[in-house]
Amino acid sequence: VYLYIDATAGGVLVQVLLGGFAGIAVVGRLIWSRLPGVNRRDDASAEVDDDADLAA
Amino acid sequence: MMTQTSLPSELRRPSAAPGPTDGGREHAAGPVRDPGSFRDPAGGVFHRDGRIFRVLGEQGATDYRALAKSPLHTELVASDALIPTRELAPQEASALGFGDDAVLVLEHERIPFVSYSYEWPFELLRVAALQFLASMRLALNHGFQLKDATPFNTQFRGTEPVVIDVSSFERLIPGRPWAAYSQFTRTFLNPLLLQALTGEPYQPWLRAGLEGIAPEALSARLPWRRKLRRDVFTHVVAQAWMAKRFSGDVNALRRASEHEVPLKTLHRLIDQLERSVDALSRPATRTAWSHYEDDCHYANSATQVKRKFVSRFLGERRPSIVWDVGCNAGEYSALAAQNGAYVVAIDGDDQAVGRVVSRPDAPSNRVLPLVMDLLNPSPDQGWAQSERRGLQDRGPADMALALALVHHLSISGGVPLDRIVSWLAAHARSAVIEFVPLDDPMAQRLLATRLDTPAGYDEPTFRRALEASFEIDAREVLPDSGRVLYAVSR
Repeated sequence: VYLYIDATAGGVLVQVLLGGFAGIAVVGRLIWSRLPGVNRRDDASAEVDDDADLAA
Repeated sequence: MMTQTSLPSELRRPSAAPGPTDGGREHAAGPVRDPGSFRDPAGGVFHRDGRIFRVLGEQGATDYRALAKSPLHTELVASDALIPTRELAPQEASALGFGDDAVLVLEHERIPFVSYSYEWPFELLRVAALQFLASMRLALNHGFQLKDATPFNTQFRGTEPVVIDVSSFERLIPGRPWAAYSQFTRTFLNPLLLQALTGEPYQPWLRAGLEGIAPEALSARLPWRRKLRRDVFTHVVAQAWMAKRFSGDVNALRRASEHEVPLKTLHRLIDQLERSVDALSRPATRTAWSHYEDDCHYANSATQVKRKFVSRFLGERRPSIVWDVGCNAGEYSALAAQNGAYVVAIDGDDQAVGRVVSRPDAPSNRVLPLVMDLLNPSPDQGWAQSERRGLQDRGPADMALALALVHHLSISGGVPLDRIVSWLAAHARSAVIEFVPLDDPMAQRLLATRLDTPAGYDEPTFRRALEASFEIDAREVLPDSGRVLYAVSR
């Protein structure tokens, strides 16, 4: 399968949102983690933590 | 609506001679790759002797064979949603010059005239969008999806859309988001929303940006009350906001992409998009020339003579392809189509072209209405300026109708008569051209705010220009009018 079309961040997230409560929760968590004061980790530590999340 | 007539056989079947869609590009002995076909790694489009081929590699061939075996293919072809296609035997492909790297070679029915979404009036883009969504829904029902969603994969036979890219269909990967959703919104939905909600024609936007209208750009253009519409909020505002918020956040995107998007969500998305597109309509506005046919006070006798003159020349020349340049609402496009021609009806007035689409006397598969300013026709553009072809490269037509056009190009556009005539000669093998004298009420309308009289605008000068580029076959003065019709050929 070739994915030569750029799905774009907005395009993927809208579809996740339309998926119902689970999707809303996923996008909600993403938005929450980006709010000022909620997540002030620098990029390097964020990447390590996020990867750990994915592994879990 | 008039009963549909089938396309002339020479337009449906591959012909021995290069056709009007070939633009004279193919001179080599072997197949020539279409310069606009290079993005999809699954395969590409080639031309040879006026025939259209699609060459597929390993993955593309696998996807196509899965599609061809599926009832989806039968249903798409039966509903005229997919271009008729046949598979070539390896020996036949080899004899045509396709190498061993071509795992599978297909031949497509030829489209009489290739057009682009930045030339389509609102009604055509809307019907193409609806047909695309119907095809996507059908594909989902059969375990497939469309991997890209660009109007460049749709062409028109008259006003009837057909998907020409059979390699767009691929097996659905369960749980994955639809990668082409954003492309659909940029290239189909957003242009339609722009025009429906603001009245601003989308064609200049699509011509300037072949990737369509970004949600951010449209969102900035819409008033607040429009942004509260459910479809605008979801597909434009929310998409733009999230794109801005998360585009650079690789980890966030990875997490979101791994979230399963169930099939029923994809169905819901297609349903929502379809409802949105279906509800959109062109805002009713009246432009200076959109109701020319109603406003133009031709004497009945003049109209009859004009129709008879055009009919006679159409009957004598039997053109396959006619370009009605400056078609207005398409009265003479319909006449040419009734005489058996496939007509490309071109006008710069978007509202007037919109009226061509719904003409009851125009066979729906014979008249293709396009919006184009003839003072600035579509150029060669896209990658290497060869991806999308200019108007000049899609001709010449067998015949041009240039009725009540020359005075616009000359008086309003400032183009000298000899240049107008040589332009017509470069785009058509024959023509019916109307000369409108300066004392005509319509010419006076163009001159209303001018203090001078255009230099070099008179019939003797026009005739000399005609004689330099064409043979004059006939001339007729319209009764009760100073207008003159010329039938010319080269």
